[in-house]
Amino acid sequence: MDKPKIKLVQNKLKPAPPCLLLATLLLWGWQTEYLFYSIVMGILLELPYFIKWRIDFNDKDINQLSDLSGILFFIVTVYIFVNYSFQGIYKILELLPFALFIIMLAQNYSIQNSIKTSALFISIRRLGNKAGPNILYNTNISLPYVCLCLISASSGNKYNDIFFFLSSLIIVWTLWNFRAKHYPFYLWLTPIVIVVIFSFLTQQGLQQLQTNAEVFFLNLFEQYGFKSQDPDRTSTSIGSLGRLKLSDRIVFRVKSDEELDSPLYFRETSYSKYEYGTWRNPKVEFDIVQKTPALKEWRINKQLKDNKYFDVAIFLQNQSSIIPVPDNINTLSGKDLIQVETSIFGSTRIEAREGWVSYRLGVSSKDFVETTPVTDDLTIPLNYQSDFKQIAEELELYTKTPEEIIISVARYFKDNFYYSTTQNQRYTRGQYLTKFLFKDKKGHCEYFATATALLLREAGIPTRYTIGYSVQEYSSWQKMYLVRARHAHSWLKYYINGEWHNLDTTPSIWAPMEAEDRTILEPLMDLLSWLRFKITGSDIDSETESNDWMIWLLIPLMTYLAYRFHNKQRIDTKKEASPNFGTNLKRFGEDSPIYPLVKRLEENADRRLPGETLNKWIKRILPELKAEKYIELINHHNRYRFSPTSDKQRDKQLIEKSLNLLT
Amino acid sequence: MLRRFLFANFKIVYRLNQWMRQRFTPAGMLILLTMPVAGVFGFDTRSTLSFQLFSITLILLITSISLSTFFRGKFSIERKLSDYGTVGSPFYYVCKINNINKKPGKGLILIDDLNSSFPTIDEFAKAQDPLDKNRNRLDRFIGYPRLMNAIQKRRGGSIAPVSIDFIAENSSSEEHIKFTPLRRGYLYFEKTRLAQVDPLGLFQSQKLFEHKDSLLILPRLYKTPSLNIRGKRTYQQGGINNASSSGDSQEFVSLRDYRPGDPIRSIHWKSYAKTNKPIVKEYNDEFFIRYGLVLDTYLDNKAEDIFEDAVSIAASFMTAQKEQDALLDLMFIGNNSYRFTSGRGLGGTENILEVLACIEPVYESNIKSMELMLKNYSHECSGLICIFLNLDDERKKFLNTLSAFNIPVKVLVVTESDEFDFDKLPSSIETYIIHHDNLQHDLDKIN
Repeated sequence: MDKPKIKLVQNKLKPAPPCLLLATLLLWGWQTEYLFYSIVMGILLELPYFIKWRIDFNDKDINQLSDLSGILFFIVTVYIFVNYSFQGIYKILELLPFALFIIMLAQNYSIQNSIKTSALFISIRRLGNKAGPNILYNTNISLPYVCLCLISASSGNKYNDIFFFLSSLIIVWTLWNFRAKHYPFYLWLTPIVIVVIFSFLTQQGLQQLQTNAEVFFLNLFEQYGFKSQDPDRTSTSIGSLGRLKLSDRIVFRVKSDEELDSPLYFRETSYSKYEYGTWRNPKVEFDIVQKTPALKEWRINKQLKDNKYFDVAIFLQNQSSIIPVPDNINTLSGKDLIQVETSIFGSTRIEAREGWVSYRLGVSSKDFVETTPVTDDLTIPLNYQSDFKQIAEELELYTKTPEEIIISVARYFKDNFYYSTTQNQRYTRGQYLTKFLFKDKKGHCEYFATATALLLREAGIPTRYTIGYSVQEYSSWQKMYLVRARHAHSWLKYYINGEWHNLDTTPSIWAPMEAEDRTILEPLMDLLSWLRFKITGSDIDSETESNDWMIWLLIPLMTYLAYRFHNKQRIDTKKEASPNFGTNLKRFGEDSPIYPLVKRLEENADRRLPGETLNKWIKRILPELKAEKYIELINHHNRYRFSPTSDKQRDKQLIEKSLNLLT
Repeated sequence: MLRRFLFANFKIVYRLNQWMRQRFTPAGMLILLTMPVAGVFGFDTRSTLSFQLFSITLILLITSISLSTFFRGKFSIERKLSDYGTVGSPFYYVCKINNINKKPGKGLILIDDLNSSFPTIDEFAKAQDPLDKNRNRLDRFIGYPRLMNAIQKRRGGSIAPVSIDFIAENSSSEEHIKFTPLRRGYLYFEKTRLAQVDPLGLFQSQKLFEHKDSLLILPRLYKTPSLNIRGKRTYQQGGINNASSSGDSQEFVSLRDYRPGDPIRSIHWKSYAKTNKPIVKEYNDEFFIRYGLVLDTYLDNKAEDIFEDAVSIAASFMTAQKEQDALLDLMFIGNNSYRFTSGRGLGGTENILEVLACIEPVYESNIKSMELMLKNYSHECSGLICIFLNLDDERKKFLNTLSAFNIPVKVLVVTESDEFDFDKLPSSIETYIIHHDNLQHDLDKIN
């Protein structure tokens, strides 16, 4: 049957039209500030359209170039990840056009103007020629490269609208080559205009969507995550009905060199004035702490020496947040921190990027000095004055020394009150504490701290209501203390003998009671939280240990790659040595009398290259006049060896005759 | 459990992949692949501008798909197939497209596809892929490439879409289609699709035509040597029924007295009338050469390629029989024992090839059944050719049994390697190794 003419559908990608690559690379260079490189790269990739010079790359050459690109890119990727952590992904994205440039260059300057899929995918390469035509085929990767450059250019994140229109232009330029030509031009142009307009609106919508989604989720998140406290006021749950339920979510993590003997309090801030369930301060001013240039740390407490260090990782929702710190904080250090401020009420505020932030806390033997008591530190709200007066009289506080007062007040709460997170009875506004003191005698830490603070004030001791966290839960597998939302706590500071001291009258049962409410999913949530914490790269170890050790991982990798290359080479050499490897096939004409002569000439002159014909080789190694004498001999040999119709016996005789003449 | 889960996902992935490949043009695929990448990097609209590329690609695809719905028009398609094709050889056929519209059809694409039913999980578990040894461990464990290979094999070939630039209104066009069958047996055509690309050149709109057909693909044939087995002619019980046109057929020898059991039709009535006692005609016994060709179907763990080679060799022997006077019996064990006879006008080549086209390998040893079949056959057999897929102890034992029948045997072992030892083989048996990679060359070496 005669072969009929069949017009198959072209289902391979066409090469990019002239100048498209240059335009795309310019856009990339302009966005990522690699403009110089992009011009050079673009010109080099476009030149083959204008010159005819080409290189005869074979598949192996292309494979090796592809491997080289891959290895270089891998090394760069590792390096960037070590230095930039997760944020490095955008840096890698920026560099992608460099990664594929070598292979693009090889493609554009090759005779085939395409590369095999096996050059890009080692899995296909391993299948060899047995891989079917559906997998192993020649393709031109110019247009995928254009798309890659566009995505890469987008990581520059500059000139929002201009980038949109330029990238649209490049995409439209690309599509022009693929349009269905049987349609009239307007049927192509109209949808294109519609696409550009709608895309512009969509991308604006996406930006707005993200803003709205962020607001929504941040509002949602605030209920569970770490929320930076307002240094001016804090609302308590005093008077709230129902059960006080705090989340199991991990708010921050603390790594300590030594195990803690007892729960450690990390305070956030202190407040002076109490009114209707809210503690307040006058407008609090923060002072900037200057960074010590030599030590790269912020010295908050002006103590010379740190006794101990805590590494803390915390998830910040705002760039400026008050962080929980121990009372005896001395120094703060960490590459995530931009600025550190302190207030006279003992709050420490940091400025850092949003997300997981880690820092190192140095503590000394002396507590941070808060401002001396102000009038508000002795003020009791009018509606509670009589209540506290009554208790103070009962406890005979007016006749005791400050130290005795502290002891008797602490004992009073310990002996007469118990811890409860549930409040079922509704009371009139302004009488919550009265009911706590005289009727219910139960409540959570905010009740205890507030009541104690006000009672001590009645006895003439200045107090401040303090909020923060109790660090007590150690995770043996994460090797650090986990501080959950339910570990949020409040206590008070009292001022005697010219110093502020902590007092916590909440029964110590509070923590185990809170822990009873944890969900069965807590271990799973902890694991997810830990994974997220690890992935985002804010490992609190990173402060003390450099990630540079990861570079050493490259050594075994490079050794392995070198071995693979060497091994491959070795196998190839073997194959070259025995071309009939695996078969005993004898080719006709191998007994030609010319071969001993060839061998002799190879010993005296240059070796014949693989694929070099005898004619070419003779002309290369011998002077022109001498080489011509061999041509007839080679023609006889070629006829003897390859011609299907010639008289082999006669050919052999002719070869021998020519040989005799030559010798 | 994991296997089942993966398999269920493979189905979804495969169908999605098929749909995308059939519907999207290369440019469409490029846009389709760019979209999720841009989407991932553009998820945070403040970090990169990739979301803009995501928007453009998304709207492009939506527009393109919407525009493709405007493909209208009435068409009909007829497929004209010939009777047979051969594995590995290009097969040409014709599709006639009738344009029943008042407008010409432009830029059409004819897509004819072979039915590719999805294998069951058991079939997938048994599926073998010779390329698996070249794949990495993950691919081997997951098995998706193996599944793709199994589907491709079941389908039997891929038919490239054909471009039809123009069909005038109310007229038809005959398009030639070419594909290369990858396996023997019946290939099934089910649907033909006529497609048209949208103006942007990204997405194809398609019209479906139910159009069932089947095509028998015969095994590949090789040049085979003369059988040349030192066997003698043997008495054939079947007599003339096995040799209708040539040889020592129905030759009259003499008359003799009737013996009980002689058929009535053998009575020579004239002599009966003369002698008044029953006389019967006596014919010469049927003696001619009858060779047996035993095809080993027990594939064990070997690659299916060598089974294909074995079938091809069997088909080549069965069709290229040089000794016209000889009978050649093809014997193999499938679900039952099978024996098909060719030569001396029996068993047309087409029938034998159809049998061989549909033969399947067996994965449980059937050498015992083969032995039993040959015991009943040996007395009428002049010589045997055994095409084996392996030369293990079981088969060696079988050959030793054969040697006891005292009939000459040639054994062809189809293999991918040389790792056989010929110890314990009876000296009377000639053994030839046929390499998968060098099949014709090795066949030529057989005397």
